[in-house]
Amino acid sequence: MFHPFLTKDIFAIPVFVAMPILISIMLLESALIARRESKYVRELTFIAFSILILLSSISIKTLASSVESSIFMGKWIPPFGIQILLNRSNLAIILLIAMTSLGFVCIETEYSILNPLILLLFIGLLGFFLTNDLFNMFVFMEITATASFGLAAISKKKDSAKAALFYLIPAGITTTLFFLSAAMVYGLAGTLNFWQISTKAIELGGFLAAGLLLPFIFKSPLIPLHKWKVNVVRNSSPQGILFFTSLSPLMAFYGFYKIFENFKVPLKLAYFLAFISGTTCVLASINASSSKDFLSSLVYCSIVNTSLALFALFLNFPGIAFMQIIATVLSEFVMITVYLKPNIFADRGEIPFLIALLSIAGMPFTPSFISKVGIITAFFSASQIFGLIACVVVVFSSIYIFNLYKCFEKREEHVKKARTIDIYERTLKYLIMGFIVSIFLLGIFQTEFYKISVLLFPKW
Amino acid sequence: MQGIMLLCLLLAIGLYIAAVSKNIIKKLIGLNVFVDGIHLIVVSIGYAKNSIPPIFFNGSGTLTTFVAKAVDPLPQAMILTSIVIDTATTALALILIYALKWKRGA
Repeated sequence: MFHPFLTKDIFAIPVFVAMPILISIMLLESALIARRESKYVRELTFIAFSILILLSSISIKTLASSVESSIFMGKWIPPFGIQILLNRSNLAIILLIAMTSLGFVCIETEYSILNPLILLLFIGLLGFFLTNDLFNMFVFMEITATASFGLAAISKKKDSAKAALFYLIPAGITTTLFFLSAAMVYGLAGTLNFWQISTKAIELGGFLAAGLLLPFIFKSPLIPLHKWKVNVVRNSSPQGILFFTSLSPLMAFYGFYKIFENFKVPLKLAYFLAFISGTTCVLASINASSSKDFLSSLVYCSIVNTSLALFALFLNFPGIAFMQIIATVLSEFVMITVYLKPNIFADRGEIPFLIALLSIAGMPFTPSFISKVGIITAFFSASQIFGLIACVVVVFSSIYIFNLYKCFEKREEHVKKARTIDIYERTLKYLIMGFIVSIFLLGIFQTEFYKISVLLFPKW
Repeated sequence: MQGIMLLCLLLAIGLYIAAVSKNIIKKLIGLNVFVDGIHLIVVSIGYAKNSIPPIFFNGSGTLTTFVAKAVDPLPQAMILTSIVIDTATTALALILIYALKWKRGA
């Protein structure tokens, strides 16, 4: 019934689950009790993330010899027990998330409560990527959503609470539908564990497909659930902006992959979803080109790239889709951080921004070059309508790339002269530099990156 | 059948209020009605007529007869978790509404 490579437990798994929970509760309390000592909370969060990054790296090294490992909480076997799965694909994603979240901590915060919220967000993301269970996916999705509402609402901007509320209600409805579909899957299969579900070959059709896929369609966001993102990002805190543009699409991608991997997907549904993502690409690229505001343009740019990745995923090219989504996460993180904290690069902020922008455009020697070529080929090979969509997207992409650079230049004019930077800003600087090096390395070794991506995300 | 129709009605009412209403508090109430409707549906998945609670003790007979008679505990456990999450989300939404009111000075 279970995977043949179900091997020994790894010491890091309980720590992965327990440590962020304990630290975030501790930090939350200390932030509430001792409001004046906000620096102390930030330092602790910083240390916690550094340890988590270290643990992820060690676990990847430990896993090099075996394929994957899992732990059953309380030694209860599914369907009653909770299974946490650790393999190279989710560990690689966790390492990326841990580093991105460290960047969240390093960005200056107005409120000390933001640090526990970042840890809570990290718990949710960690659980979401580690769990091998449909119900726990729902639980961790809700935890992530709760933390992200907080990140969106805590900003000093006038409409932040309103934007967060108008995100909360549809998010609540879509995740509740996911919960109902999970219960229906339990009624059909008698289990919620993904491995056990995959052995039953349940067909994903009708209401089941709608319920299971809606939260991810909302998070991506694909048409017609795409309106909320720009509004939320424009009114959000810096950490909220980073989450909604880089990590939320990654979550959606992984959710779609998990569902498509373990259920029997009819070809018509896959084509329908591909058509929706293609349409989203066109509309978002038009919006990104016409938008005068930097953040709006960037959000639409993120939507275009996520939709492209999802298009490849729906047409059964998960390796290419993974390459595209990783390139998007890295590039968006660099672009937003440089935009929000221009001082850390003194007056040379446009260099990392330009590298990230070229990476997102799909220039040669950047990781999205092969993925973009692959996706456009997939567009043309799927049908003539998709080919037409690809042409329109390519034209508008070039316009919005120029538009984004123009908006960034305007921002650069107002940047003050360089000042001394503290340890957090220095860490952020090295993090961005590390991301840029990763972009170059992934770009140079694209063929290897593609092979690894196919290995991590095989076809279903 | 009547039960299912009632549940569908509850879901429709909740969804309608959450989607259409312009008042944020009403939207939140609609969301809660919708979530409660979902909870009832999930409970009904695990329900069986003339069944016993899923607690095994010495007087319950053999394990096989107990398993045949007892209701499925998993949907109930799922709902308990969902209720907790729903409460937290509602509390957060209320805080957001309060913050919104405070920011606008209404």
